[in-house]
Amino acid sequence: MRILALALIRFVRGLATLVILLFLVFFAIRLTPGGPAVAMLGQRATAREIDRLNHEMGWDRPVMEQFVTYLSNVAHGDLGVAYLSPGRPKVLTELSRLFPATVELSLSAMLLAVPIGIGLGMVAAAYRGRWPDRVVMGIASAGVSIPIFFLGILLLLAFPAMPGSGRLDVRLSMRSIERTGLYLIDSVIAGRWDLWSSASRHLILPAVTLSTIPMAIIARVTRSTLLETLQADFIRAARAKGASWLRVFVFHALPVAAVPMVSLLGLQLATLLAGAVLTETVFTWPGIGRYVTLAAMQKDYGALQGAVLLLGAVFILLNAIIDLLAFLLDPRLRRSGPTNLARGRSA
Amino acid sequence: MRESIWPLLLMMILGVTGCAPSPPPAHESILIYGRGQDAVSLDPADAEDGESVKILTNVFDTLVHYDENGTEIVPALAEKWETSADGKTWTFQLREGVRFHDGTPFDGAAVAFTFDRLIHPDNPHRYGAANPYRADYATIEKVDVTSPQEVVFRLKEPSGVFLRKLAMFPASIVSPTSMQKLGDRFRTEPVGTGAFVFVEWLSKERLTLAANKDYWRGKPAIEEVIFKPILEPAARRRQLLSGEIHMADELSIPVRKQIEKDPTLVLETCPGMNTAYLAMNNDHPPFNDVRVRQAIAHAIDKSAIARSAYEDAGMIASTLVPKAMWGHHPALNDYAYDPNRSRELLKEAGVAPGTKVVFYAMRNSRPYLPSPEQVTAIITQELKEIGFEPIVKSPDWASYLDQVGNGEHDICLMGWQTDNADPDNFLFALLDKENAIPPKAHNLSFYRSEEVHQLLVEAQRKTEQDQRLSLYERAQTIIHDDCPMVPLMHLDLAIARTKNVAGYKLHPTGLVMLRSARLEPSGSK
Repeated sequence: MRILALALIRFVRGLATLVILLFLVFFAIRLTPGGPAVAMLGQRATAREIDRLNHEMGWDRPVMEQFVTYLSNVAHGDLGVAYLSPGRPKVLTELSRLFPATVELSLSAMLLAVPIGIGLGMVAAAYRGRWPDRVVMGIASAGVSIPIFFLGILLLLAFPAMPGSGRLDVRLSMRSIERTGLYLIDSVIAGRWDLWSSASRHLILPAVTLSTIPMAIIARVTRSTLLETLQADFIRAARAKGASWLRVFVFHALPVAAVPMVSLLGLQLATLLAGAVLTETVFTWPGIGRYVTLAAMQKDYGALQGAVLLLGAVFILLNAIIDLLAFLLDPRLRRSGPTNLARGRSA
Repeated sequence: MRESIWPLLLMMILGVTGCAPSPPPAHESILIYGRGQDAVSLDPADAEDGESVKILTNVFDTLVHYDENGTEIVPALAEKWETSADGKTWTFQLREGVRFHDGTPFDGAAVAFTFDRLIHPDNPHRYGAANPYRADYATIEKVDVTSPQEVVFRLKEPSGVFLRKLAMFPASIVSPTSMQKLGDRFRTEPVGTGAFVFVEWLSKERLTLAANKDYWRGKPAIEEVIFKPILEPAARRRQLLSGEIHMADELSIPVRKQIEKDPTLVLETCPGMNTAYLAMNNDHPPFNDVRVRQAIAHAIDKSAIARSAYEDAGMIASTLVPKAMWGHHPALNDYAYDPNRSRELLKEAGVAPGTKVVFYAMRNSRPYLPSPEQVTAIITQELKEIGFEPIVKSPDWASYLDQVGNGEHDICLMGWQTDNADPDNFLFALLDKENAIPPKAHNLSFYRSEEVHQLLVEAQRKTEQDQRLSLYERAQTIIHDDCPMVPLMHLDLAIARTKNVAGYKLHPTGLVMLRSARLEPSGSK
């Protein structure tokens, strides 16, 4: 029952956060000069034509009124239309076409970041204070501090033969075999190794670029959690019992240190899903991050609001899942009750 | 350590894919064209940006067209034409046996359908097209279909520019069948008679066209062309090198220089039909005084701009009409760089040192102005040297256009790339009094010479090119003396390609026509 209560609290809070987020985006985009009507009609449009279009679209109504209308549409599952995209597609259609690209990129980055980050963290903890520790921590510092776009450009320069944009060679198409929208998986299901090869070649550089920050963070947290755990009484007891150092490290210390890692990993994944903007821009990756940037630049209200709504929802949802998972995994949290936890982390 | 499987897997992925050779040569009949932005609308009556025009040029035909090497008007969908004595009736004989990509035969009805859409705001088949070029065709009274292969255009007044306007992309002949069937979906699924058939468009990823096997000029040498938007010029160069694209345009000057040095790439250039200029707002004192305007003209060292901001990839402009175009006045004596003369003129005009000048300068590069920040720095410095105190304003591009169009500047940087290679498109568009009306003025000097207006209107109505030329030369002489603007530079056009692209020729109008391009087997790669 407790877990249900917790889930309910998180759900309500998540909704409230989403509305606030939308509210901010909704107003901010309308405060900037220019507007979709100007962009739609082009440079030769007269002021009268612009006024007429603004009136037709309701963009001349009070902002609060527009906001309420938008919310009610969203509640009915209507995210509106991307006015500045060719053919004015539904925002929902656009988002479901682009989201898999972001998911594939983020998951690949996590697949790189988690094992390497944990491995590095373990090495650093095992050799605390000696040179491997310093090297690893040096790499980790560089990893969190190097600007993503800069790293992306460096990689592009360092590997001139690797593709630098898109998910696939433009001459190829996934259309006939698309199921999940994750190209690596779809091409394997269909047994199309030519597509798989092209897709993975396109994925490597952006995934490596995107993985650096989570990798560095995971390495640091793994190291510090391990070090903390290694000083606990039960480790000393195990050592005293005669277990080898390696055995203690791998079978006693690691599993205990792994619990806090779960929430860290989830949070990192959420950040990646919501924040691959720079990587997607540098590598012209057709995902949500790039879509947000373009929509904001073009003042495509509907597209921007829809994308922010999706990113916000994903972030909040993942956060909630992590909290619930941690609650289930960690007996200490369960004892302290749901209210504490609900107050714990906010998105 | 369960995780240890992942590094292994990663190594496998890297091993398999990292060492795999470049894409197989099986696709070598598909040309990939890298460009800065995606298209916006593929309905000729709706489009206005250059990226959309690149598609329209290949999917549609016009009644007449430019010749292969220049801007002479030659037959296209119209085989021949004649003008009545008063210049108000134009009769076109249409090419027989041409079909639209949807199978509809091309005939007079299609021509009338296209132009009715273009000139009547209430046309039922407009389907929301913005029609930004309607004013250019406002001179058409109506289009009569006298037989399936003959149409008659009746004009409100004689026009020397009319034929050139028929060569412009808004006059592309659309398939009436598809237009009525698709409605506003036509702008994402265009159907014309052109060398390429529209296949698919994935917004901001790729736009694919396939060869029109039955094209009346002969089928294109390549089977497909894919237009791929790549934001950064440096990224386009990289993709040329990595083999992801075959051609790239909209190259910045530094990237052009890098490509020139690269043995595996080819840079083709030709003089461009564009002009960058500094407009001086004649409505704002002290720029209502011709001496002050001339002082500014004498203060700007154009050769310094040509060297540093253009790295010699352009020509110094002495008049608004580009050197590469007919109508250019070749014998004007340009204002020499002479700051002392400027100071004298300013003294005569009674302009006190330290006078503030609101100087609008854009931050984004333009097709005529590749590095505006450098040009701005040079001009700012030179204005200071003759005693002005410039206040530079650089809002974002949309606001910039709004504000200068509204006359909020004292001086501003601007430029123009011709739509139809006619001097009217420069002189009337940018310096006639009819275009000096805020808030959407194109005449940013707010120059309202009655004399020039008379000459330009007369030139519009004449149909003999020689007569028009002399009118335009007279107008340019007057403009030169009145000095409402300082013409700065004409930027060269440039396109980069890999070595194995052959048969493509840069057209001086900047139109991208890919019918003759072909891909040759690339030796060792």
